[in-house]
Amino acid sequence: MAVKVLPQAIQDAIYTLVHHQAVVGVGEPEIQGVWHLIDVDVAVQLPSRAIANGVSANGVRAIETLHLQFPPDYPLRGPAPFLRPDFPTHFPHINPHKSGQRVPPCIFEGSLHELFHRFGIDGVMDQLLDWLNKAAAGQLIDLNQGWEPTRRVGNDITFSFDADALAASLPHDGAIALVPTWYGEMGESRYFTLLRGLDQCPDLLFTQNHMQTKGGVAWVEGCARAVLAVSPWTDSRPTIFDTYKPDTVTDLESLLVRAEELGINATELRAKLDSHVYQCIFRAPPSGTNAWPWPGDFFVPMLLAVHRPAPLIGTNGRAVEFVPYLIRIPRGVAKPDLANSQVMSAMHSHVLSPMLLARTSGYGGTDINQRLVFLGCGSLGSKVSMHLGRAGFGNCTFVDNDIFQPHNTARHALFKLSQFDKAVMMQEAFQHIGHPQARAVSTNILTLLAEKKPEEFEKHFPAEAKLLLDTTASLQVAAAAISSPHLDKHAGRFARGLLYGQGRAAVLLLEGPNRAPRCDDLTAQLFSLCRTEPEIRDAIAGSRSDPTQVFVGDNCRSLTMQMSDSTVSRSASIIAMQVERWLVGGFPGTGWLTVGAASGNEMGMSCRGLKVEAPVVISVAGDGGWSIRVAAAVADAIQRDVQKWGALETGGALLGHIDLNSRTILVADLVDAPPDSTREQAKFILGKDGLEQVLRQANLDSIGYLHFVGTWHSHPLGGSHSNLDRKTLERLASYGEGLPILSLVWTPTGLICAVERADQTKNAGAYLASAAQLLGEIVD
Amino acid sequence: MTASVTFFPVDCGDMTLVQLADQGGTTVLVDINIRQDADDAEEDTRDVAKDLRDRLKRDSKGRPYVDAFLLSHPDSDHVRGLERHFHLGSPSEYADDGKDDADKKIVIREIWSSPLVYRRASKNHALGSDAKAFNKEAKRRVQVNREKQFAGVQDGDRILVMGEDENGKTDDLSPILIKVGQKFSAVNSVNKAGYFTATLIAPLEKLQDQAEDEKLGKNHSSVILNMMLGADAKTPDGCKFLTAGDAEVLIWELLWDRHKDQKVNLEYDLLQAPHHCSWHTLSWDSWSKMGEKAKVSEAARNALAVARSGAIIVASSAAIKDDDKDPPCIRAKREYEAIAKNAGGAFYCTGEYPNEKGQEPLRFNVTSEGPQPPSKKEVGQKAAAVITAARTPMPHG
Repeated sequence: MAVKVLPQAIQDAIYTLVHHQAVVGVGEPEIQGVWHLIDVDVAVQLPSRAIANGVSANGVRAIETLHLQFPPDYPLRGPAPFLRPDFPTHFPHINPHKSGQRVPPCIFEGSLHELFHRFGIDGVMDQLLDWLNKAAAGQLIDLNQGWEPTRRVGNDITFSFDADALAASLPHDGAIALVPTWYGEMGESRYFTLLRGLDQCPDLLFTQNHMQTKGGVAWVEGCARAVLAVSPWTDSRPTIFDTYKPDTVTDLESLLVRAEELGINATELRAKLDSHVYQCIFRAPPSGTNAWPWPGDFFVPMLLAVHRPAPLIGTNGRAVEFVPYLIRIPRGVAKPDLANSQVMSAMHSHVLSPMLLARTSGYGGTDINQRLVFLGCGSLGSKVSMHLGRAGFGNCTFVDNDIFQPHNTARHALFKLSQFDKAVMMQEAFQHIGHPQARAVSTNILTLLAEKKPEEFEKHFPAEAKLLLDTTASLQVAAAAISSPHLDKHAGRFARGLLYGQGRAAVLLLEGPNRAPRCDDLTAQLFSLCRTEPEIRDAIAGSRSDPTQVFVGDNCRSLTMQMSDSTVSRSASIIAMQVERWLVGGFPGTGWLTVGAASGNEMGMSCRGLKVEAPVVISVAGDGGWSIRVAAAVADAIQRDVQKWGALETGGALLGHIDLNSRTILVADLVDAPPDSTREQAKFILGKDGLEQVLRQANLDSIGYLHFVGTWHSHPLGGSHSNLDRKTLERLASYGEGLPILSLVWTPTGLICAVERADQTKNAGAYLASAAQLLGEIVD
Repeated sequence: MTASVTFFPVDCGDMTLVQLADQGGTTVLVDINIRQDADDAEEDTRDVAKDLRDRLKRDSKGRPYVDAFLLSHPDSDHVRGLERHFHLGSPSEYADDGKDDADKKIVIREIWSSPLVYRRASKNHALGSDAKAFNKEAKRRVQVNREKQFAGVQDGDRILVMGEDENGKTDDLSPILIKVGQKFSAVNSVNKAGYFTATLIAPLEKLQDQAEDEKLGKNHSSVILNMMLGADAKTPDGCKFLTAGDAEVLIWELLWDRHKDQKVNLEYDLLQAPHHCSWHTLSWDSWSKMGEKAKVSEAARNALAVARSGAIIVASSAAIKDDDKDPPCIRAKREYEAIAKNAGGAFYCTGEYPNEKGQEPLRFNVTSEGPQPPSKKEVGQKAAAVITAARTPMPHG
């Protein structure tokens, strides 16, 4: 008799098995057709006090025999492991099988073949040993992590339903429910969707239409009723079933046994099924002379619901498990009869819902109903909001009155199908990804912010909105937002996301509570940051030589703005990630500046976040009234300098940005007093050594955004501006070409400020230099 | 959480982390021996500080912490690395919040310390810097407790005093004092009964006879605790873990005398072989001088042999060689192996797990039927073993 030589791969597998340190014996391979079956004895690490018995209290032996089935295409596919047929089955992580057959453990959360290809036979054995040891310890599952749902191996029958909603609607009296269901069948794949309302399904209990795809593939669709059964409550509480049982259901009889184990009255269930089948036949359309009423097989989708002692793993606290089965009666000549039925286990797939999106994104425990308003649905806005929508945050309003133009396709998250209104397009896209509550407002954002009628604002920007995110990159919108009286009263947070430097910098400004700081304060801080962070400065400036273009930001509506879709996405993802973190972990209690910057041709961005405290706001009467907003960082620096010099007066030069439209001076930074400054008890002279150069450099480093806006000095003994202060201010202002110049005075009771504007006759270019020359003359 | 006891490979020294099965996974660290080599990435010595940190929780401020730290006695191989890796001083002085996680010092929420053990140790040898720092911290915490009259003491200021000190010095500390023989279940002032109940076995109280008391000091007087660890909410008696620092033969003889009629106090499922498997724990004779002629103290051996079925004995030491070294001592290993074998259990050595060249933390799961040794894994072992071949030259012709 010819000795059959084992394939090399099987020989190698045996060699590896023999050398595994937990293996105590490897049996002769049995060849069954083209499969190789190998029994392997392994030593289980029993708990110490179980060693004497040779078996753990829950029935795991010190030596267990593993049965490995090597498929014909091994090693393309790995071996399938089984335990002895009488291995105790009250454990989680056991795959469905027929009672009395070898017990298939579920040893890996992913595909066993993938595990095999990553770690080889040793990896499979390690995982098996780990499983056995945990079984012996009674620690295959930690209820603190959740209840392991009944195992299902991959099959082609899928039930799609919102398990959370279904769990909430379960009857308490054990009544068996019939749930309208749509089904489809193509080849061996069957798909069932439980419907929420009866109106989506015709009155018929069971229908069946045989169709063909355009490609000629046959498929079937129709309506059915899913049977849903759950055990009745006792003492106003659900009955909890805390014993693991692997699925051994293979036919109607074992299904009814299983139902009984789960507290469901099997007799009633059987009666309900019989009556349902009868009703389906009774109400079926006439089918000529045939006793069988439909063109194909008859189905009853079946769901057993069971309350578990802990929330199921991977759910958001749901302790109700649904175990799906499909009862199928193959088409025959006689009437459908349950006696001829087959029962197959099915998989549950979640219906698309915000919670599904959130859980998949890792935000299962987050309040995803936080209301959002997106101002602007352009390239950046569409991408940022799609990121958030896919993460589950879809309770939102899109505001934009722009229409989708052909060149938008290059960078927008969407592309034009039936709609052309960007806000409506976003709303429709959100509805497609599971957010039916998304709203669209195709209105000009400017008019809404400045709307004379507050009810329009309140309608679209409801009080409960947590975040209003402006991605328009429009300075008009920014200006309208700054001066919007409605926003001032709104409890939500206003934020502005934008790109600079052709997408090399991503910026997200978050206003503080009560709009302190505001976006104009934050923008000034951004350019102040540029003074000390060359990487950010270079990224913001981009390749532009004319800084006036920089401040506009990168507005993608423009056809001339050349930037690729991937470049916009890089920044959009950073902005969205930051917003997600706020929505998940809470908004900071201050203003916030997030800046992502890419240096040179780098593909990555380095990000940094900066807390920005509320500014000191001083209203100055005179000259039509000015609002002076002193950045908290500047106020702190002044305070420190004052403390340093004690009784002596001290001071310095201020850097800021002037917004003539809103009559606001943003004091964002300062320049220390030059070394030749004089500090005395009743006098401070701001020196001039190097000051002009420092001021020029500060202007350059802030990409021209910040410039010299005046001086500050201290009055340790209090008191407002002296005559000399005012005189100096006037002289300074005379160099200002009509720009307002301020004189900030620190007093023990707070900052006070004076603003001066001179007539506008001087040469603008001489302003900085001349003013700096003048500084040496400032005395008090 | 699964309760566990993890022994870290720290050569001859102790470092053991007990994790409870409660929801919060409460941690009790027993001794530390984090050598400079272990902190040096260039060295082969196992980075046990990382191993420890990987197993610790972080508090709301992101600080790593242990709920309790027991110092069995102040020898350097039980307290080495304290100043480098642990925050000492008031919790308000914690200065590492801005640092990377790996550089943040570990917060000790509650210290378990024995002033009597300290007193005896300092009479016998000079204390190292870490030991002094520990003592200073323990005294600070006692002071905080006194000032607050034991009420409202916060994490990081808490302390339990293990055993009464001499001359009534701990008489006013009764709210934070555990007396010898006493059972306690509070860890960091939270009652963990069902998950943790420990009996304080030693330090033995000060003996009247001065000379005898001094002998206790020379026998490495240590805190000895027998911890009953719950496997889960329903199983308080998962594993009895006996840990004893470096306590030597005289102490075990006295303990046998005291507990021989109440052996349950010494009974264990898991024993940390005292003093890194030292022969001096089991005998008055010198192993290096007398070799196989050295005699076992029957009483000491009896005290260390109250093993439950399947009991596991762990030597926290370097690999044990058949030589005249002590500790670890081959003869002591043979005795422990015999004790374990008699109970149907097993003997482990941290310096040999899983093998001498590639040491790893040795973790025992606590189950409802006692401790369970770790799985025997293959993945990675072979590749790691091959790499160790590079430690010796590879000549080629």
